[in-house]
Amino acid sequence: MVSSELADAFDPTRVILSLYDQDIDSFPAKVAAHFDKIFASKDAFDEIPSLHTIDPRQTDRRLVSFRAMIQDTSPSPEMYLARHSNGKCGGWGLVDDSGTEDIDYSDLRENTVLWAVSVPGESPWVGGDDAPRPLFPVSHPHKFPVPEHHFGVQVKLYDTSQSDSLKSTDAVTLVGILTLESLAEESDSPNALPVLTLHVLFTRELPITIIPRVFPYVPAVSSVRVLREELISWMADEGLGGDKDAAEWVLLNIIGTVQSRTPPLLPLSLTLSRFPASKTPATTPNLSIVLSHLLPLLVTLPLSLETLNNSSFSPESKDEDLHSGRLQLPRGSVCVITEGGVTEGDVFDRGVRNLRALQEMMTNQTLEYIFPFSRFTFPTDVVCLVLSEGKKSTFFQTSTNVRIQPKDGCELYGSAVKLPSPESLAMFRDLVGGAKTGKVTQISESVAEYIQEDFVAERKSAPTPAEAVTSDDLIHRMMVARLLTLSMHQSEVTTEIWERVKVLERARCERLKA
Amino acid sequence: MSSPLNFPSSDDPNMDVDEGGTTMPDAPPLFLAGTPSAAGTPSRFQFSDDGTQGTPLPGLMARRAVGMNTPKRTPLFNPGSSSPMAFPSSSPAKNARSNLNLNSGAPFDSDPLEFPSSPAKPATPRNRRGDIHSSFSVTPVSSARRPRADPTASRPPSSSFGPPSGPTLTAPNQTSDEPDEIRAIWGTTVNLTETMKLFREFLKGFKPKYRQAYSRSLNIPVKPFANPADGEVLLYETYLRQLRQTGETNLNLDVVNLLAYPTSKKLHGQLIKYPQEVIPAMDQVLKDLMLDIADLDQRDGAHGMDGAQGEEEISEIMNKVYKVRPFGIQSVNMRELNPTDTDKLVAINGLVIRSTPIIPDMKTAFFRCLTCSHTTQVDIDRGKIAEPTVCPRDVCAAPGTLSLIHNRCVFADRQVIRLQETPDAVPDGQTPHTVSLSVYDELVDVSKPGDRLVVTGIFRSIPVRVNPRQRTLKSLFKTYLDVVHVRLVGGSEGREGILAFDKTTRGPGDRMPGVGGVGDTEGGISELDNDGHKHRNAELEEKIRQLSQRPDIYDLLARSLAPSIWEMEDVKKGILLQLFGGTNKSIERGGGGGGPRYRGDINVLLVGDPGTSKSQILGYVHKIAPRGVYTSGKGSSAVGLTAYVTRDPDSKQLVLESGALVLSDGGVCCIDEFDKMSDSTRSVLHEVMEQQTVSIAKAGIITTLNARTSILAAANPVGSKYDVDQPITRNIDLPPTLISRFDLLYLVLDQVDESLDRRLAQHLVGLYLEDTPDRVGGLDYLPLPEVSAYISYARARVHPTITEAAGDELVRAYVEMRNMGAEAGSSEKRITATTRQLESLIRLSEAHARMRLGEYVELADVKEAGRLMREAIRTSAMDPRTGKIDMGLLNTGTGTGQRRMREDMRRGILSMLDTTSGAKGRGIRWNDASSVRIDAAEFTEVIKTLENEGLVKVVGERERRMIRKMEV
Repeated sequence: MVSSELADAFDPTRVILSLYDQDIDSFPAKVAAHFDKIFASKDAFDEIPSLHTIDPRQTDRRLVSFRAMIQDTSPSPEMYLARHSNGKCGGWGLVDDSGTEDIDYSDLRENTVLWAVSVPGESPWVGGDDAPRPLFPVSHPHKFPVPEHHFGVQVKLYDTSQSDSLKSTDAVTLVGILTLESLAEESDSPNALPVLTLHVLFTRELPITIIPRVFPYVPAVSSVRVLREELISWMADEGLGGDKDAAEWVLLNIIGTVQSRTPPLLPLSLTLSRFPASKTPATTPNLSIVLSHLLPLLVTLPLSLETLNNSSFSPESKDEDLHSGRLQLPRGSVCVITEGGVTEGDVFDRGVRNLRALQEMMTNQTLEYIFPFSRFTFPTDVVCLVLSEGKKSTFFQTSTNVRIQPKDGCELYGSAVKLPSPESLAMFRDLVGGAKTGKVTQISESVAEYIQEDFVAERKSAPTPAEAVTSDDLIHRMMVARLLTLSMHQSEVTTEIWERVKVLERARCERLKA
Repeated sequence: MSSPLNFPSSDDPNMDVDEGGTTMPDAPPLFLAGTPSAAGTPSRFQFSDDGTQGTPLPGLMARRAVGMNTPKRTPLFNPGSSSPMAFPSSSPAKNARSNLNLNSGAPFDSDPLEFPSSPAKPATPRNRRGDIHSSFSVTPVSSARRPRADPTASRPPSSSFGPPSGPTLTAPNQTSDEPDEIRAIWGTTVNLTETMKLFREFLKGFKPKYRQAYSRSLNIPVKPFANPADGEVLLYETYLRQLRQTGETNLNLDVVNLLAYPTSKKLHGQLIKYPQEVIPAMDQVLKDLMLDIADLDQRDGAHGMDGAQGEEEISEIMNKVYKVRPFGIQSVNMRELNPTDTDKLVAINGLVIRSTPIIPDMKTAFFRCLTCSHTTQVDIDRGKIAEPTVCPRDVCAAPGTLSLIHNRCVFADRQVIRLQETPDAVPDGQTPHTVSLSVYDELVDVSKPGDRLVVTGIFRSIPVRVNPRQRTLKSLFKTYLDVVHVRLVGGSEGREGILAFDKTTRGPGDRMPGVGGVGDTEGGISELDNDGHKHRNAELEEKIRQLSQRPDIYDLLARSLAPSIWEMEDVKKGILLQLFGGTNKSIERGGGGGGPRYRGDINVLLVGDPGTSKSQILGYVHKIAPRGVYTSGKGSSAVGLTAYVTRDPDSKQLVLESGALVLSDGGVCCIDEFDKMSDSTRSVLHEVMEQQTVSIAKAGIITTLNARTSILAAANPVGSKYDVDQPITRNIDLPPTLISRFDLLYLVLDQVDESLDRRLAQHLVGLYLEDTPDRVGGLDYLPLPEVSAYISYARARVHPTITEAAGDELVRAYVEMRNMGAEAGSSEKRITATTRQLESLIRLSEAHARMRLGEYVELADVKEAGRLMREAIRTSAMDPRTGKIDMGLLNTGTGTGQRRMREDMRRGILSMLDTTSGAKGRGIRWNDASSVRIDAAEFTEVIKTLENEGLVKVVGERERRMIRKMEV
């Protein structure tokens, strides 16, 4: 029974027509529930052809799944005729072929229109290493944050209870019927080009790590430590010229997420200062490549006067079309910002705005979207790593500054990155991904007491008031302690971790003074 | 005058309805569509010579011409009988509007008969307003569908007033629930007539007192009438006369007044459900009544109405199309509009982001058969013209021979506006939606991009093509609003205040058209919105009221303001009062016809050591404050902080874009790193903080924008650490003139203290390492949204006034503060308080009263305000050298102690120059040791003064500088 249902489901149009029960108000929810149930198991779900693997030019109302980021929620909703004059149901791109002209306006229902794009910065391994990427002509490049090939799809949602929960930059898997239709906003103009349109049957929310991860990691704690050391060594050797301290800081930062907004438990931002300039024409640091093997979502943002002055970091609505900005990234993304390409010259108005937008994201994890006569602030959850040649970042105030000390003769750009064995790589990804989903749940009275006493004692022993640790320092240390705990796949801060944080901090400060 | 007895009995109509039911489906749509227009349009050309008294109006605009048919169906020249006649004129029409003019067919005889299709057909008394789409061609269609939608209904399927509208079709249930309204719409004449009768009675009988009584019944606070007679005015008769005198044709109708008038309650619901039937009926009543009143006034010999002049007035009235523009419906968010609202009257608010130029909008298409020259007209229906494929004349019936004759078509002004949701209406984390508005005729160009509007209109759905290759139109629909009324929100009286336009920037030509509701609009709207919100927010309001009764509300709110920040109770309290704000005052009379506005906004400055959570406080306030805007002094140019001018890519016009300060108009602007701000930006703040405006002179645009904003700023001391041995002006790099504009100035110092440190650490560890931030101290906190709601409520509803006792206390507190400067045995006075401090004291007292939702500022409020101010002054205005409070420090930058010291130093230097041996000739060296330790900066300052006075001269550089006395 189930298997036949499953087989039938690949002709979704027929299923919808057969499910139809005249109750047009509850029908969209019924359709969603029906398909969601059929594809409940992972195996069944995996059988749905992905938009990434089919030739999208042959749309013919086939069932596809699309791992996507919601880019634009501002198109106005449409009305569709939910009950056709011949008694059949409407919606999902179904057309009334009865030929009569009369319309019963009481049969109109609302459907939501969105624009979704393939997930920006998604690492190639996420879709399965062998997933081919057909070159489909890029439509609407202005609706994708990074200048790369992508899919952009018009999405129509009929279950409106569900559509309100979809917000800009949400990462979801959309399953629906693929058609070619003109853009809702342009449907009046005679020369509107048809775009890929997905009539959604049901959606699945994607976790922050895109691929589900487990926290804490299953193997024993001791082996997590070993694995963690291996990971840090690999990151240091391949991306940071052998600097293990820097690698540990990078690891701590990339697992950061927004834990709460009040009080602000936001991910830290990190500057790797004295990061050498590229000696070769290659400008992408090896670190980006290393991280892209570990992280599902990684974007490299090479700063230059050109990108600052001429690209847009914040999404901006022009003519009621929300153009994407470089920072419109899904939650859980890591953004590597390289300052190496910046030369002398003027930063114009737009450049200043772009810098402020990025700084705002680092400190508050918010991004302003620009609409005519108004601005809207959206929450973000993006970790920023700044690579700077100077003692500190030219433009940004980050929560941590680590001076990198690469071994002599190490090339940080353009050299081939040696990958560990596929098994190790898979474990590294489990470790990083798991840590990103983890939470520090508790702290024992004794550890809390320990930290408090430590703070008081340290303040007392400061030679001058100006050199005393401040409450901000304490907060920073606690944030680091949190991340360190998570990176070890533990859920409780211990005195050992606290001491380790202090060691890390001290080493970092020593380097800065040098 | 209008005797209801003249109305046909209800029996007849029922019969008629049956007839209509049988005949209508047979009638081809074109027949209906073409007919009325054919009757109407030609009259435009014929009007001047068709024998009516109408003055020839050659330049009459199309839209006026559209209405030319109206006079014809009313026997206008017999004013005494006009109203009774008017009703019968429309009475037979209950089944088809096309029947309406059966008994007023005479004018049609004078119509040019070269249109074979028109003469035999009865005319329709339809009002071809652009906003009210008459949709007759659809009528038979929808009626044909009725049996399916509601098979049990024995109701006749067709009626002239039976709309193809969603509402009637939507809900078979509805029909049984509300038989009255349905009958009105499916329309027996009686009920339509009744609608007209009720409206007529309403116009003739409504008095402001009804509205007052109605408001009172809903517990909405009302202002008593200044004069009891004011409540007895026949409001709409006054408006009607005003219409005549001003030549206006639009009557703005507050629909709440319909509810308030005992007999017209039913109209309210009818109007909202079936606007496209009821509004034309109202228009008709309005016109009839206009004529009645004009006639009455003529007979009474009212001013300007006697004899020929009166005749002229009356004929002019006849030539006009009068429009009722209803408003005052509870406005909803545009997201809440849904298919069931189709063809209903709705009100939404939003921000105009784009508008098209004026589009000539075809209302009626004129076709001529190329074969037989038969002409026919087709009305627009939902944006489409159904072009006849076959010549409607049976004899001809040639296919595809009809061609459009452009200059015989009827056009009206139309403009499409895109309205975007306002930031406050958008759900969290969502992008704003937009909706299209079609505005017509007088409403074209009333609003401009950037305006906030409340629009009332009819919600429409029109079919669109899914795919350009497909011809099917029926599956997808776009929605828009046909606007009947526009109200600009903004200006000082706007409730929201944000992005308000400056009324002075609009020329007289941009005035909202129409009469009526001008005076009572504002009150009407806000009252209405209030009682609308009441349903939704009744619970919240109750909760807020209860909260305000708590004795510890002050502490609770202050605590909840920034739960993660430890201690700093007074700072939190100060900021809390800032959020509530004092009341704004302006002096009614004064120079320039209305004195300046006295700000009620409280400005707060936090100065303190780095790492003391100042930025966090700002972050919290930004989240809580209505219209909170957060900006960092560093990197924000004056432009970013205020407003800048750009060229709009579409219109190539220079437009102003508002910056942070203007955006936070009516809210709080949080500025971090205030000290890092450039001087030019700071100079803008001078204006903002006292005048509450931003002046912009850029690219040829000079304008003043409102920036009624409270400023919460945080600054770091000059050195990395605050030097407690120095006065505040030395510690922060800000001009004293700016500092003095802050009502409260707090020093947030980071002092090493073991027990404090321990408690601080405890607080932070609990907050940042445990996932239960509420554990803090076992005290309860209000969640941020509740704090926010409380503040918004208080700001909107509570406007405390100062009691006598509080006034006395204010005076006493002020005098006391000033007296603190008077020292026994000293002729010199330190300034401890200036009028600025008195103003601050008043504002803080008001804010405190508002915080506890008090109607009056009482003694306790002033006491607390005084305490807060003393605390703030003590930390900030204390002269560390004397240990005394001296506002001079903040006002001018130098304290009295400092001034005295400089005087001493000056005397010392001069005497030194006189007495030191050899000093006469070569002067004294700069670095000559003084017997007491002196401040180098102070010393330089004194020497500079002496130099300016021409008493000494400094020669040499750096270490070798010499001070020489000038020889007189």
